[in-house]
Amino acid sequence: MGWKNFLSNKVKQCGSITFSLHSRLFIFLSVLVIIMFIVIMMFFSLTDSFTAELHKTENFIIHEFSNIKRHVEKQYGDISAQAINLSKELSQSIENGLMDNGLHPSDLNNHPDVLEVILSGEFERLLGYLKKTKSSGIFVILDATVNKHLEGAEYSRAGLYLKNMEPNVLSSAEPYITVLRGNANIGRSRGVRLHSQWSMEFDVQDAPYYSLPLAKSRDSTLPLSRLYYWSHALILPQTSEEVMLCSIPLIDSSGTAFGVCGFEVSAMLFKLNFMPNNSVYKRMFCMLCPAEESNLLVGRSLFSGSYAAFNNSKMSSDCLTYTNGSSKLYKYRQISGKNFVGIHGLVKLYPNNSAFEDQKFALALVMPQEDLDSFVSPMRMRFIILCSMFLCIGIGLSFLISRRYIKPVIEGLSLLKQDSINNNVKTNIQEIDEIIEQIREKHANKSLLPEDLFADFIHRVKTLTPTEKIIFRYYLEGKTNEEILSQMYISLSTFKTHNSHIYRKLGVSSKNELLLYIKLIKKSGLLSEIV
Amino acid sequence: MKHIFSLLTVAYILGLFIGCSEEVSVELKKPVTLNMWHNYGGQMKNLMDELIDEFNNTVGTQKGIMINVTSISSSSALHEKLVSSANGDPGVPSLPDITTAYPKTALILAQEGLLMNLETQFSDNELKQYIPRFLEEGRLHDGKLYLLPVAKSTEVLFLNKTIFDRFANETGVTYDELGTFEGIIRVADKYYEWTDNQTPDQPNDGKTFYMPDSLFNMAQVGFAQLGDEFIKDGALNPSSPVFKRIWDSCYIPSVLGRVVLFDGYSSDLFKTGDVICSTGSTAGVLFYPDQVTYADNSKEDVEYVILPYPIFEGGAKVAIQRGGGMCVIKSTKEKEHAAAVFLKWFTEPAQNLRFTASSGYFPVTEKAFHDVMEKEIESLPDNNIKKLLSTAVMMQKEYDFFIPPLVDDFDNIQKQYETRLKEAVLKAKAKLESCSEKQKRDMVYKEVLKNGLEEFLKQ
Repeated sequence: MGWKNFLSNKVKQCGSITFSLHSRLFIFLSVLVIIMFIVIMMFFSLTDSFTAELHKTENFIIHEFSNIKRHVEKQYGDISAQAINLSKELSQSIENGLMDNGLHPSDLNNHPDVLEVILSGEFERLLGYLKKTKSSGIFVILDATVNKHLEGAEYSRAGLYLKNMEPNVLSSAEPYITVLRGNANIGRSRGVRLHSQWSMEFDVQDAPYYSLPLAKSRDSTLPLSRLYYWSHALILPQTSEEVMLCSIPLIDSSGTAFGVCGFEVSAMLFKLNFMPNNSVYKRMFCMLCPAEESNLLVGRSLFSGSYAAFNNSKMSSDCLTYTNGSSKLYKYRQISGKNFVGIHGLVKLYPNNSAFEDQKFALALVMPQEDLDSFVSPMRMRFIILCSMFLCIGIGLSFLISRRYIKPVIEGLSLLKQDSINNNVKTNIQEIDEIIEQIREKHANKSLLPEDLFADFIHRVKTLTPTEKIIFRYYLEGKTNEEILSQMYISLSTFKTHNSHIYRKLGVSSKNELLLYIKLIKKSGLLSEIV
Repeated sequence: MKHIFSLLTVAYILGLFIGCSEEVSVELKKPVTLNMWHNYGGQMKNLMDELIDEFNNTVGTQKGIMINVTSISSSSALHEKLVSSANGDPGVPSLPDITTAYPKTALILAQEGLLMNLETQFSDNELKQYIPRFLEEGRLHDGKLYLLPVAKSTEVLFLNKTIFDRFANETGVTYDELGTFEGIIRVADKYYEWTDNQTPDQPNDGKTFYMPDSLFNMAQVGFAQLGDEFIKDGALNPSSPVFKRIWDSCYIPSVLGRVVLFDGYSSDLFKTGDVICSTGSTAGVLFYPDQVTYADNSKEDVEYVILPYPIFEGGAKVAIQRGGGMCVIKSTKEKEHAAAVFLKWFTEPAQNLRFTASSGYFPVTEKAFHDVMEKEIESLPDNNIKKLLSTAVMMQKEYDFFIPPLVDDFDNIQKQYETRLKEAVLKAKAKLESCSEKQKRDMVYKEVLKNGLEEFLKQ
């Protein structure tokens, strides 16, 4: 029950709280400002002003991504098509060359003496293809070795690998070509230098670009156009640059594969050809990588973008696990815990029914999450801070305006308190001056009030009988009913009868009203009139 | 009035707030990306990549500078590309913001007014940190500094120790004989004979012993060793008796197959054991293979000896100072400043030593060269680099270093000299090969060897 009383008291107290006019006006104005603030925020919210920067970024990334993806698919498609043509030409040319020597491609491994001649004969063809294809290297690997008696000869394969050291130079009139693999004499006889990481033969011990197309061509009846293979980014033995290789089997007229040929896309070529527009997002980068379930295999990717981005993302053999974010962009998480944001999509490198159709590659355009945050958050923060400042300034102005507005009222009150109202005093605020005037007039009338109020009452007192006057006097003296009864020796019923006569004659309805009159008369100094 | 003042104060603070945020965003929004071309390949490329990554992620991030490598070429290809770009040739990319260059390339660009004077971005105190002789090479035609040394090299003598020891054991030749060019030619004669004797059934199939990587440098330094100038008054100096001496030491052994003049680096021929001795840049050390691959694909592990640059008998100990530097292409003030920030960072001892210590280059600041490198040679993991730096440090103490003169058309003079010398050798060889009879052959030998220089000079 205690808490009910407490609440009841509090409610009563609240009901009795008085607010100054200044406070009331300040509160009204503040409420107005807050309502305006809420309306503005709702407007910005409905018009997506808070997320405008994020949407702008999303659209920018999506647009950039679709451009690069189209470009990648076109270039990789062209290289694939050229690989098919190259394979057809090389297969036929090598077979014809061998036939001139009374040999067949299957005899290659037993006739190492013809390897240099055969490969040297294909140099110009390879160079021609390299020049007309937007690739950084071209190669042919024969299923044969110069010396099958050497240790490790089972993994050593003869071939020729020409590398364009300047694949980004548009003018291909004089490309800077080196021989990465192949007999040194083939290059030297044409004034072509050996690559600094030259070896005579290919090491195919762990070379899916060699073994897979060969194996597929031997195990299936698919046409040549369904047998080319794209490797993930890899570093060839004894080299240092990452490359992606497109390889396709060499097949003789009897349908037997006797080697592979193909093209290279180096890390530098990829970087220069597919550089994302990082004028705004400096660390945005693009990567072409194998995709498995919800992972992008970073360690087997080619990158374009700044080296800084490359460095941030190139974490050995780990991967980016992606999840759908609330926006149009994906969120990526690296094993190391680093977060990225961006977009990716599968790139179609193979035709339908290809032997390697199951192999998925994805192109991704991403940037570190912190970069997006550092770009979008300050914009949002500045917006919120400006809105908050608008709110604070609004409330501050409400305070100042309400104070200034109420100033004449306070001055008017001050004049009233000083009791110096006269006709000369004015606040020059029409309504307040009218109030002062009204008060002045009422004040002038108020001086006659006590006598007017009590004249009738005093006159009525004189109509009381002697007994009634005695009782009335006892009331004047402040005696209680019990005291009056004991002193007058009358019965209670007689006392009540007298009292009812007194009330009727004096025009009051209760003892309390009677006592109030007596109190006011005493205060007005008119007591002598009724005694 | 009081209220107006308060409002103005609020407005001022608000203005300050907006102003500050704008300044920060300008810095973040407008970082400078600098395109760079360089000629560091193989392991040097990896080192360069590492350092650029480090810069981009540290100082670059702090200062809004990003280096982006857009081309990596050999020094000769880079030279052609830069000159073509400067000329605005079609199909060639526009000039980068920073590039490595040799003085001859930098001179062409500087004469076109394309290079920034580095003194506008480097204070005198900063420049004093660099080895003066290295810095001197970067002061071009008008005395202004256009080329900042980042890694320097000289030429030394590389020798395939494994094969040479085999040869020396049977013939008694010594390393000391390789101290002079004349000694090298004598050893080359013996080597030809020794290798020819390996295959008694195939006459005249002896192997070449020596290759100078740069015929032009050999001639320039040879002149300097013998107290004369190879290029005088902007042209070759054939009237000097030194000219014939140097000619004879190149031309005759080349025609005889003791020395090879090859369009490429000697390290190419080392890969197949076709040459076992060369003079070349210390910076080429990483290109010398650990294995020699023979025609049957068999391989042999090999070791090297790195000896001081040979001298012509009676000459002074002089070697060439090589290695380019980095130039900044004139651009906006922001880009020029950003390029200077990178170059200062890149040539700080810590970075400079990382870049040079494992590559055969020398650091370019006094502190890095004398205080650190000389003391830490023994701790290097690569034996060839260790040998190389020991030789180079010894040469720094005993040799004078020759800086090629910068003359107009330098590039063309070099090209003409090397091309015509090689052509003369090829012509003479062809003449000899056309002779079948020994007596006739000996006669043609004498004639060819005698007349080679005269024909060369007539051209």
